[in-house]
Amino acid sequence: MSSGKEGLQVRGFFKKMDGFDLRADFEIPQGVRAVLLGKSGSGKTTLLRVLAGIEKADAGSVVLGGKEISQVSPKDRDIGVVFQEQALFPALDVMENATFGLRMRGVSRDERVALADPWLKRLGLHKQSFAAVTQLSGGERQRVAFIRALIWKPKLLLLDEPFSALDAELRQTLRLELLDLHKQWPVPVLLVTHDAEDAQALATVKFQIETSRAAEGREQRVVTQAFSS
Amino acid sequence: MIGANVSYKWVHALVLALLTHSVLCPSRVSANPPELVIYAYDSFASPKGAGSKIVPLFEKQCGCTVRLLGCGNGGQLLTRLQLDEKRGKSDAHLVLGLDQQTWLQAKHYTEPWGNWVPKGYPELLAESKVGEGFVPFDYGVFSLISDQAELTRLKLGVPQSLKDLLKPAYRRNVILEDPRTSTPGMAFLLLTHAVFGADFMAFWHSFKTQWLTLTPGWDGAYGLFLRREAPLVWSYTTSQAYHEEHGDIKGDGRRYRALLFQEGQPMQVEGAAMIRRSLRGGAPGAPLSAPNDEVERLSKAFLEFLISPEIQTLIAHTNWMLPVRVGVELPESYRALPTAKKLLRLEKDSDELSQILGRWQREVEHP
Amino acid sequence: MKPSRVPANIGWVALALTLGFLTLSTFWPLAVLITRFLGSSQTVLTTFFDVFPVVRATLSQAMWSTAVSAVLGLGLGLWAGRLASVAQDKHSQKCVSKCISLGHFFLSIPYGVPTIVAATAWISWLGRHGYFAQIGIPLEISYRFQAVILAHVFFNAPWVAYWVSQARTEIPQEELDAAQSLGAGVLCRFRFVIFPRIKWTFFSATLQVFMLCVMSFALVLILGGGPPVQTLETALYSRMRYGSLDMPGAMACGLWQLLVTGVPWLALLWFQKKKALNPSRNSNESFRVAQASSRSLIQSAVFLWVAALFVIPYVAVFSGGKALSLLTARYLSEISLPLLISFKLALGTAAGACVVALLAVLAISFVQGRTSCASRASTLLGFVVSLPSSISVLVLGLGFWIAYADWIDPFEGSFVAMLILQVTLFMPVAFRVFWPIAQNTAHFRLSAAETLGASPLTAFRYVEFPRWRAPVLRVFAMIAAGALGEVAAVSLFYSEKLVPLPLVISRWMGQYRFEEAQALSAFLLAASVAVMAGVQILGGKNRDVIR
Repeated sequence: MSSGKEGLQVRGFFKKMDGFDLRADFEIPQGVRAVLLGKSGSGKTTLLRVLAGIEKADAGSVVLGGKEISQVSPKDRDIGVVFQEQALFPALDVMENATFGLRMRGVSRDERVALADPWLKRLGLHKQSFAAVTQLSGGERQRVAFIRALIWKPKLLLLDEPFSALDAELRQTLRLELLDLHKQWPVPVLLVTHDAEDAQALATVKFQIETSRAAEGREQRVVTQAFSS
Repeated sequence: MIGANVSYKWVHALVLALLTHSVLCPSRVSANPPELVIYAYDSFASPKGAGSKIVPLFEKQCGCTVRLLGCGNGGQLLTRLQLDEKRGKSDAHLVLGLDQQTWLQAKHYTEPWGNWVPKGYPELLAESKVGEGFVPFDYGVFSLISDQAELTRLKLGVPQSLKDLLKPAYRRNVILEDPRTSTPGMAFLLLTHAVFGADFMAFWHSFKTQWLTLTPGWDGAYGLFLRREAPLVWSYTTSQAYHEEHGDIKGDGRRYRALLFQEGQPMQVEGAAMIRRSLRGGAPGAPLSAPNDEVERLSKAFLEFLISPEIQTLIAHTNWMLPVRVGVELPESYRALPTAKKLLRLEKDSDELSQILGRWQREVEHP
Repeated sequence: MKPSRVPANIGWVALALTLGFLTLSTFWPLAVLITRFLGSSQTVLTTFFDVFPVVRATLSQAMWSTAVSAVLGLGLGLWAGRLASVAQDKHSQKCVSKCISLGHFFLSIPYGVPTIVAATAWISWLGRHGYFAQIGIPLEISYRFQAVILAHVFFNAPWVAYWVSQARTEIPQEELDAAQSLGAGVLCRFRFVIFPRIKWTFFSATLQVFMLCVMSFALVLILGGGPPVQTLETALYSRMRYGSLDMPGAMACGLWQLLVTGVPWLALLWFQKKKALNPSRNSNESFRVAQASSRSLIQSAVFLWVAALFVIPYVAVFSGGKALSLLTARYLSEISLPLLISFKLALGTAAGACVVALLAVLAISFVQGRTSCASRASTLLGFVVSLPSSISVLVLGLGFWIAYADWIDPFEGSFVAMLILQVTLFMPVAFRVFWPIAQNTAHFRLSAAETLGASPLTAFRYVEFPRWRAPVLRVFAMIAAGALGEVAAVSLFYSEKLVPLPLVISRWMGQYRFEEAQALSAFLLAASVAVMAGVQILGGKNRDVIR
């Protein structure tokens, strides 16, 4: 199925969770940064993992760049993901981590280094290009995770609580850096967080998870749009 | 300081434990009541071995106690004596289970008879008399044992000679023991050396692809044979008697049969000897103290007891070996054993033995 | 280097006890043996090169066995680890978890199978009247090199799989998800995420397998068909067993064993130190497990069958149904004492080996935090602690006797000597499992507990112990089962009043009691499995396998 539209469309999403059902119908156009707000355990990370292809939904379709991707394997979805714990690969150095997506797409080493250098410089990591990721601070690790998710120009960027483990000052800095990076590659973005400040700073569209009604004794939660700017 | 303290206590506890153990299990001979300590191979010393029948009879007769120390197999008895000399003491008075081959090396660790000749010694089989100091008590004749049912199934005849074993038909149909680790295996190697002389390696060059396997000991080989892994195994003629006693048909219908070679059969004579005085804490030739004198008397009495008609009659049933005393009544199953035309005693001195083993090893180690 | 968290007094005690034990159990006996028996340097040198054909044969066998075991074990371990991770998913069905637990238990069994049982079992399958021959597939590999390789692979591949699986379970699922979202396929995920995380466990288990193959004895003697299929251990045995005690020859074999197994181990420790990578997930990472799917049940059932495949060969010793015949008064009176001795010895060995290994871990952690050249010192100490597994038990036992001749007489029998010797042999196995766990100690959590008023011991009890409990139990169970069937150490120090069960088997065979011996082998196998299962059940089953 193809809608002929750019961006992300989620239609008739349904997933049975522990104790509730999660439903969603939304779209994120090209260049829009959507923030999904919700409490811990509300199902927002699950939604993100389903979009990334890591988990399966019970029903619904996901269309990205006009292409139905529900049945596409995660590695072929062209979606960049920033995980809550960064999930950097400890066996690889900063450069190798940052350019991993390019490497998987057959880009030569020289090209990868040439492509990554400006990104690393922009985020102040160029001096640590070949350092072990285990030697980086929390903020530096997060920067590497941002570059890794974006440098290969995915069609969608998903971020799972990317600032949750950082202090307020660093959080502010990284939000600005993320905005800056997004300008370089203005794909649709979906960021899930429980922090209203993240939403305030980053969102062009806000979603939230609301409890709507109980059906057959089960709680129903629905992703709804909070406002648009 | 705590560390040092605890460490000290631990070492102390360990040393104490070792000492306590040695006190609880005194390895030295206590003087009263007189106790005779004998190194013996396991199958003799085990609860169902020949020792369990012979020792109580002797204890009753001598009014003493006898302690058997199991030392593994015959080869390990020699190792035990060698190690005793290395550590400078021995815990036993007698060693029982040496054969004529190990005797050549063990002689050095044993006490000569001097003027004493064991009572009954003249009545022993001439071939069993290995030398002064060695009291033979039984002997075995090595032979192939065949599983007639398997031979028939494989349409194989009975090998008549060593050379027959090289025939393609017997390929992977013989189970042997490793000469480096077992007495029967060594006897087979020495038989080939005796039969083929300087050319014996040519035999082994052809033979090394013929055997099914070389097991470390007799038990392994015989176990495989009984599982019908091969129809022929190198064992003792008395294996036939064992099977007869345990239900195998007598006469021509028997399944397990001892086969004799035209070239003759190697024999193994098992014997006992007194351990050298100097190894037991006394100087060679020096007068013994009273308790030692007593045990020496007991030692001699035990050796004579071993070759008495009473014990020689027992040997066949308890040890599955033949008695060395001439004229001893044998069970029916033993009387049915084939008689070897030629009994060969093939002992070699240790240099020659090492040389033969070395040549054999070099030959068989290469695929 | 972080300062050691091991308090100085405990550290010194642990160091003293570890070195004290190793000195008394290994170095002193070896030193005495070498000074007492080694001839002139020329004799030693000549003999050293004389045994080269045996070294070649040993290496050929050990390398083939190890390579095949490693490849099979790696594949199976990765699969098992992935399934174990799935089993932790809360949506996973209970029977999935049960299948995987049982499968892991099957993988741990071969380590506890006495080699004499294994050899008998393989004859039942591969022999000329074995099961394969009976169904019309006469395999011509019995009593040949291939049979030895096959038996070794069945013995060792589960060992590799077991430990790889444990390491694979520890990999954070998010790293795998991240790699996948970046476009990594199966091979790339393995290369960049999985292998770096499991490689030291894999290499360590592989090296352990290599050592076992070099030291292999009963399997080679029984299944190899005689020379040229032999190992340094069988060559050493033939030099010490019969007739002349060829000590220079035995020492040459022992020295080669030390070289062949010690050098790779030292190299592994060295590289491991240099390229250390936290083998498990970061302690502050939230852990997301792999998702259970509808296929999980089928996969776990298939895994269970594959794992069972490595145990099935040994079931052959139960053929003939004679094992139950041992449960009569006549036999029980004959085997009850040996059984009791074997159980006491097995449990004592397992406890001793775990305690000494834990002391060694404490000592090395202590050294790591104190010396200026901590890395080198701890590598060296780690090597020294592992050294006993590179030394033939025959050499060690003989040295033990000569060194402590005033106290221990092997022909009188000595339970203490058997115990110390077995602890020395099995301790390195425990150490190799415990050391990586110690390296991942979450110091901040211990500090947190201490700031809340806990003493170091209480902090350990509540923070670290839960992490240690499962591996310690696992190792305890494996060693207890292994010690139950161990023959070499016990055959050096038994006596008429102290005959452990495995020796009764060979004794019965020597008395034409072959069927009873096979029944006793089956009994011994059942006892080994029961010990392994019993310890794990008593210690809280499943927690060890599926964390």
